[in-house]
Amino acid sequence: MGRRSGRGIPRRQFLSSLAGTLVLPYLSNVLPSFASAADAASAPFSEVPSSASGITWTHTSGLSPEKYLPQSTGAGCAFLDYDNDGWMDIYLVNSGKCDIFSPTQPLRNALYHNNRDGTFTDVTEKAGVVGGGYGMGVAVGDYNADGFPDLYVTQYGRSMLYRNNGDGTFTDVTERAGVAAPGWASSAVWFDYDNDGRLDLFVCRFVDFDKTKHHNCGAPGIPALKGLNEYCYPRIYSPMPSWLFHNNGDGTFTDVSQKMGIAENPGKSWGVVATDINNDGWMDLFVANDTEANFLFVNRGGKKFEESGFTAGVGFGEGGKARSGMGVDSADVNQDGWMDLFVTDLNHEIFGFYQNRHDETFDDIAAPSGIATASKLMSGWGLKFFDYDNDGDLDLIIANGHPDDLIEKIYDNVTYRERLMLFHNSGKGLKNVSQESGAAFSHPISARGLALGDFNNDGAVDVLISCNGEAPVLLQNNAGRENHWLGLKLAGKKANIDAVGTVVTYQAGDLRRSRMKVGGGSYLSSHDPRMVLGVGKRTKLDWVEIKWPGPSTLVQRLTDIPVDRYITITEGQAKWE
Amino acid sequence: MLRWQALNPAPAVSFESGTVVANRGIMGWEYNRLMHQILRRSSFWLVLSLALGALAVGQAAKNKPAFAAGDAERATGLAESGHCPEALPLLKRAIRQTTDQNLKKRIGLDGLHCAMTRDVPYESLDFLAVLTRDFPHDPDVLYAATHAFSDLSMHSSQDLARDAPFSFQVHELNAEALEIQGKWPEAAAEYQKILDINPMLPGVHARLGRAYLSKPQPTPDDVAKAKKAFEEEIEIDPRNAGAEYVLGQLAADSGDSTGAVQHFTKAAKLDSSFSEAFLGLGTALNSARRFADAIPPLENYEKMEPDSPTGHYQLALAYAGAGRKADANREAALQRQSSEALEAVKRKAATAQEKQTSTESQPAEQK
Repeated sequence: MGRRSGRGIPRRQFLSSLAGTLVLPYLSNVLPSFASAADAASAPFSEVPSSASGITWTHTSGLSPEKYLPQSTGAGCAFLDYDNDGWMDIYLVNSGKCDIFSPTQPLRNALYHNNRDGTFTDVTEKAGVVGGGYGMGVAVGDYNADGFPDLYVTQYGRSMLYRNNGDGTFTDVTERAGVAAPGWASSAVWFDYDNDGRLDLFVCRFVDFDKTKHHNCGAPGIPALKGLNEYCYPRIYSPMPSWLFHNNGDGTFTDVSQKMGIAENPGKSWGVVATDINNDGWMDLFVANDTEANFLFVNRGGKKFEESGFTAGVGFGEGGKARSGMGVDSADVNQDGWMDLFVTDLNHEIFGFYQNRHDETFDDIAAPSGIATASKLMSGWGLKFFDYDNDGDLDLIIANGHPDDLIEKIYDNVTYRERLMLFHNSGKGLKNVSQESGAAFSHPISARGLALGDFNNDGAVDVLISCNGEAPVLLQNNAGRENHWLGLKLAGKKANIDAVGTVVTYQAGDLRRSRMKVGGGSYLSSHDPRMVLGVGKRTKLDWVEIKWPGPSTLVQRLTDIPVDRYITITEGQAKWE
Repeated sequence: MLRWQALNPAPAVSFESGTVVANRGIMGWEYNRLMHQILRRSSFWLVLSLALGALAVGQAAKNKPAFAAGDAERATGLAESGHCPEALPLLKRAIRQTTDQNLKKRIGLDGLHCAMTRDVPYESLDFLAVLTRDFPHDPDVLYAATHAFSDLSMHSSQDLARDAPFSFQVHELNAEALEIQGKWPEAAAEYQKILDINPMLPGVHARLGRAYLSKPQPTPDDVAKAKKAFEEEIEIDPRNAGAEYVLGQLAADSGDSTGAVQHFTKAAKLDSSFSEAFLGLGTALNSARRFADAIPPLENYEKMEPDSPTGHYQLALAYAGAGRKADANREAALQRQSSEALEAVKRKAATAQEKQTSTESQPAEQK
């Protein structure tokens, strides 16, 4: 694999060889574009224009003079392989008709089928996944374990569960399943909290809000905003508890929010990631709250969640004050065998980067890691740890954008549209490489959701970003192909079919790395379920060890594994496909 | 992050003088003088004249000064009819002799007016002294004093530029003005010029460091330069608790908890009322997992800042780490209470803001 089509050094050498030669004058007209093409190809990511991808759908926020809060916060996106053809398709969430918004023409979500040639076809109507309200986010999971991923679309008002029929169409089964979650739902995640092998559903809920509860907020101290409404800080609205739904295994769910200790913790929740912070084999939840302390729901044996954000040191920033938590993720960034946490916040709050201390407490290492300086003026939403260059170390990408379209009248240094940020992990720490990562990281956008997925199956994990009131941005990864890799599709048999909670350890020569397949992460978004294991320039893997979650907790070790391709590993089966 | 309020002194120059000086730099002070003259004769004196007019109309009939009434009335009459050269000496005498409070206020304000319009601002000092002593809460006096002090500040800065154009104080003033405007690289350059003239001047290295760190997004190079500047400050002034504090914060930000503990300890020893130093020390000790050691400085901080959620938060972490669960729970509850109290204040402000916005949004006829 790997399309090394004459890029990089040969082209640079060619360009430099032109200098001072007689041909240079003849090339003067074409050189700039040729050079910029070289720059674009050498950048780790390049934006795929809609003219090339065929993705022409655009998000509508429904921005109004009243400045209703939901209008500034959506929406999410997902990579999923809805037809199981081995190629990642795309789902995009839109707003829609509700009590605060009456669009002049009907709006809909979008499902784009991957044509396997870098282009996509809109199949939304045929698939029957248009949505039906003011959409926020999407969580993908095969809740009925039929091998086809299902869609849970969160909305302001009432959320929706689309069961995948396995024939390219979906059926709205929300009522039968009992997961409508009325209110303002934001992110959701599929995971198996009680290790019974079935995917349960956690749904974040934001504040108690509808049109009758809307407040008119403004900025009277800012002359340029005199008489204008502004988005209210969420502190003016009441917090609400999130939902936890237990999968009954018959297509229905039971609301266990009360029983499991979720409901006793009202929050203003945006992002959620299912992870195992104490390596006890039970999936915990890290939830970002806006103007409230973040939650760390530690799973006590599948019987109860204990909210431990405060004592764990992840509820607040160092100052003990609640921040505006948005997106979250979890990964073992420093490869010490323990999962770390990350949360994005608003400008001047600094993002939180929490390193696991192995005792259910964390250190905020935002400052020494350079995250504090880089994020000081940024408002972050979606984010994800991933190894974009397949060197074996987990890097970080963050989508930014301020929620307030008038923010530039308030702050000199803060903008409504903001740049993406990319941090490269050298193995010794994260380095902000945004400025040298090409045009994709210099172009300000109003980003919200962020999903990871390898849409062209080249082993270089690509990025999809959903924007508020704008077209989505699809970034093609050019860097991952420079190294070797192995792609894994994991299929649980006794464990949940999506293998959420599985820990994969691999050895390639001197490189040993470990990854957990977390549930969710980012903001309102869902990701390619496959894992890509980078091995750098090493040309073979010695072994791969799969530790499946409960109920089996089976450990499998596979050898003679190829590189630079995707394989499927099924729980308990010695052979990969 | 860095808690600059612990180090930042109050601006040494007034906003107005700072703005004008910094906008054009010291070299452009002729322009400033012109602007100053225009400004001085416009809004401030227009408002002051209106205030005086109102005062005169309201009080003229009632005022029956018992002592030197004739001279005082003549002096104010001259001043208010534009004859300041003649009025000024009379006003200076009258303000010392008049016992009638209303007349004294009028004389004082007239005196300020004349001193400023005659471009002899230092002569306003006598009037300012009496007015601010006898009418400390009077809005007319406070308003006039604000402009008078501003004019004095402006005048002094112009005198400085004229009389000692190559002094470090010129650069210092300019740097401070640039800081007020948020022009941090330019301010740093000015502070560097001061150090080129006098590298041993106390306080300037610290200000240089502050300028590097005050940029919206300081680069690692800025941070390194700032660290060096604060270290040089301490070499010159080993008792500078603020510089020790910033070095502690820089160490903490870089993950050097040992260095952070050392610097915060020094800062707290140098200034036992420096609450932020105790908080920094406790936080650094918590980060180093020295929970038992963190408790005394954090308890000290809590005594000084009992309403700080940050203090309760760090103390809760310290107690929890030291195994004092009951104390940790108590501090966690206090943290929640103090946070909620702060939130309530913010909510109140937001509600007030909402009401104000609603009022502003209403059509004029509905107001």
